[in-house]
Amino acid sequence: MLCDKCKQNNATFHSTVNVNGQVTETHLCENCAKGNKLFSFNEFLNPALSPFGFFDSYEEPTCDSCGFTLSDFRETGLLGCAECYKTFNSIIKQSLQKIQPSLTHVGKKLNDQTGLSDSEKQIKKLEVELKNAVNEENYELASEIKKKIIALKEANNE
Amino acid sequence: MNSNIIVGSRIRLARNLKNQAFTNNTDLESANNVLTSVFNALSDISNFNLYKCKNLKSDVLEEMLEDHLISSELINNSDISGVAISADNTVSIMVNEEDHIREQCFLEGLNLKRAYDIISDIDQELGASLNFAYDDELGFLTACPTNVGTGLRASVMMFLPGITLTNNVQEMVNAVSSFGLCVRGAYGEGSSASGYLFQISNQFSLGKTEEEIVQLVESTALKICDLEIRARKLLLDNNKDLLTDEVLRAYGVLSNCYKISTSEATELLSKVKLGADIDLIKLKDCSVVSELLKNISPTKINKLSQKALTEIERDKFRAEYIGRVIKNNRIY
Ligand SMILES: [Zn+2]
Ligand SMILES: [Zn+2]
Repeated sequence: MLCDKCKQNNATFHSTVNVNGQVTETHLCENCAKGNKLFSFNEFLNPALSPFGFFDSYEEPTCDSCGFTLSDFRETGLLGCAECYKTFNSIIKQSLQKIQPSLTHVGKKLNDQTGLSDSEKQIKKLEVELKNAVNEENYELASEIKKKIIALKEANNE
Repeated sequence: MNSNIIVGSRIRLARNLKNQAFTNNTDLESANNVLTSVFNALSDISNFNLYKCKNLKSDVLEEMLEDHLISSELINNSDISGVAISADNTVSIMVNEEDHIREQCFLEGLNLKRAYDIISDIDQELGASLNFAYDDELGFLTACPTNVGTGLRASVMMFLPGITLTNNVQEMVNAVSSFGLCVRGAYGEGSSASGYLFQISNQFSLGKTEEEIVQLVESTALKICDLEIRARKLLLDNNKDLLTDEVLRAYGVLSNCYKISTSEATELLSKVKLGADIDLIKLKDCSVVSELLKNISPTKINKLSQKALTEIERDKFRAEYIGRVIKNNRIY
């Protein structure tokens, strides 16, 4: 195949660029590839700078919230954060399929406060809010929450 | 008979905090935030003693490790990790282990259901003030996908000399793995079986309820218990003289030796324990042997002697200590 630019030498640099679904193929000889200025050898090594997207397919799946990569997971067998379960979803499910009887959680649910009445749950929630308010030294809010808790407790005792 | 075979039951739940990187991918500041939040939540519920690992001496950590209150991973993370231990030493909550939170309860004998109830209550209270990482489909999210879902591991510690001496360990392992359970040496992942002790636990954590998992481990432990009783009977029927000789030789060495290592003492005490279980040797109190087995490690011997002994001094101290306890215990 001849070089697209000089149409004399054999093309040894091939690239495929996909711009909004429009696929363009470029074939250049070594000389034209260098002289072209479109990409220098350094750019060629740095995928971020390559205008042709040579390395797109090599980009590793990486978790946006914690920076963990797929190879981090493969090396350690551990994930970097809860969001990694979404980032690496399909790979995790493949490995879960081998060891788990099913892929759907059927056990205890989060905040499954069985045994507590609605108002008891409400009191628990308020007590946490109260602690946070005190920690933040927001005593006005704290005393308001305290009043609500007392009212709820009195109502419970009736 | 059960209690001689099923030594103990352990329940562990793994939990992580929402919006915080897991321990293996964290930095010092976030890790300290995790430790502070969990300790704050714990200080609100029942009586826990809270320790930051960096404030504990290495021999204290070592002793906690031997008592199964903490793991070696927690010690590896000692710059950021901590542990909360209940007054009666049955519950420990590790912070910044592989997961942010590992809640565990260790009870004697076959007691998985009760251990689960204890941990479930604590988990409930912690969950009321902490935001756990959770997904509607996958359940509780853990650093390692093998724990995702329930985050539960239910284990039973078993003393299985009969199965071992009749060469049936491999068969037991095969049978147990076909139920989705696994067999390990007594002291957790990667350790080999010593003193005929094995740990049976669930390998999966997702797709079954906590009750189903506990039930499966418990019923499997009971089946293994039956096999162990049959194996012991087989030994008595076919090899009684040989076995009696082994047990009495072990007793002889333990009551008369001048120095002894931890591993030799473990091996010989386990033989005496078996002998006492099946009446090849009469002891006033069989539990003395089980107690000795827990108290002969280098750390425990150092503590008992109230000195930092050299290895040889320790081996002499151990021999003297075991001899003194065991000699007074035999009935002829
Ligand atoms: Zn050219
Ligand atoms: Zn992540």
